[in-house]
Amino acid sequence: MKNTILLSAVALIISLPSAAQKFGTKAGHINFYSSTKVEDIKADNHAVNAVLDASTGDLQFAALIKSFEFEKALMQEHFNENYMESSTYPKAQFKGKVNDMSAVNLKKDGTYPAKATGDLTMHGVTKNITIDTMYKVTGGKVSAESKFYVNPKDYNISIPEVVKDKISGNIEVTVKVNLDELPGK
Amino acid sequence: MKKIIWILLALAIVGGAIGYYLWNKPHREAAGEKAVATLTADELLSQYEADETASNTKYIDKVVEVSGKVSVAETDAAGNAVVQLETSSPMGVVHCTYSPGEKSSAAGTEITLKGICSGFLSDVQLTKCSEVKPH
Repeated sequence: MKNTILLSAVALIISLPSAAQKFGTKAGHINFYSSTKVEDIKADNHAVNAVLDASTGDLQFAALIKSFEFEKALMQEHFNENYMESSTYPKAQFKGKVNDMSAVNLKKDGTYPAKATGDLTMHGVTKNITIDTMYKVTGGKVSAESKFYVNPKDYNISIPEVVKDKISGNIEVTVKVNLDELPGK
Repeated sequence: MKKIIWILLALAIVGGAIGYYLWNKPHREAAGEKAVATLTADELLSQYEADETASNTKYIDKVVEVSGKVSVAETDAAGNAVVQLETSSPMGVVHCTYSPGEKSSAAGTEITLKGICSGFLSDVQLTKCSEVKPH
């Protein structure tokens, strides 16, 4: 009996370091902010999926375009129908890798900036981009954030001449996610 | 001459009123619209897992009435209620964000709600949800 307990304890300790290398959430936050002299436009999405593999540095986040909320219903409608064509292209996704994951220690409290490189896909267009990301570990809780800029033109999003002054060519995208350890290996 | 001024004035007022209405147009609410489909959370997710494109054609941007058991009930950073409806899939749930001010039932409750479908990541997402009261 004692042996069995000891054995299971040993097995548990051995299996611990390899367990739970993946972190993720289904309730991440993406905000975008377009600022021009004429108008500021912002929208929020609180149902962002994100997964970070702590051993390989694989990083993914994705959002549904129709889950972005605007203050004005009309803007939300235009965003979906005229610009993002979200019934045809429902998702936006980043799929990449943290360039130097060895510098990020998710087991130790601290703040770790790192760059990540990968493919950003939206509106049916994929671009390889490098973004600044930041990992924070506080009391064992992991969170990640990133801020980067997107030009609608790069993603074949055409903006009519009449509203050109209202929509920035440099839209700020902020991603904030609290990551939980995912079960499994 | 006077007549033209009056007509122009009338047009300006009507135009202004339409503009004002559009600018302040209320957000869509699933509650006020007729659902295109009534199904269980399990059925909705399995249809999406089987064929995402076909399911998007059927459901995206439309109101669906979904029933299921609440596995997680929480509040998002914007202050809206969010529930996850359990399914038999190991990966996915139906992720429902409620309209501002709408209250959700607690975890463990069997509910029916209406929401607007935004599509599928690993979960099916519904927005502007509100629960349908049992008759």
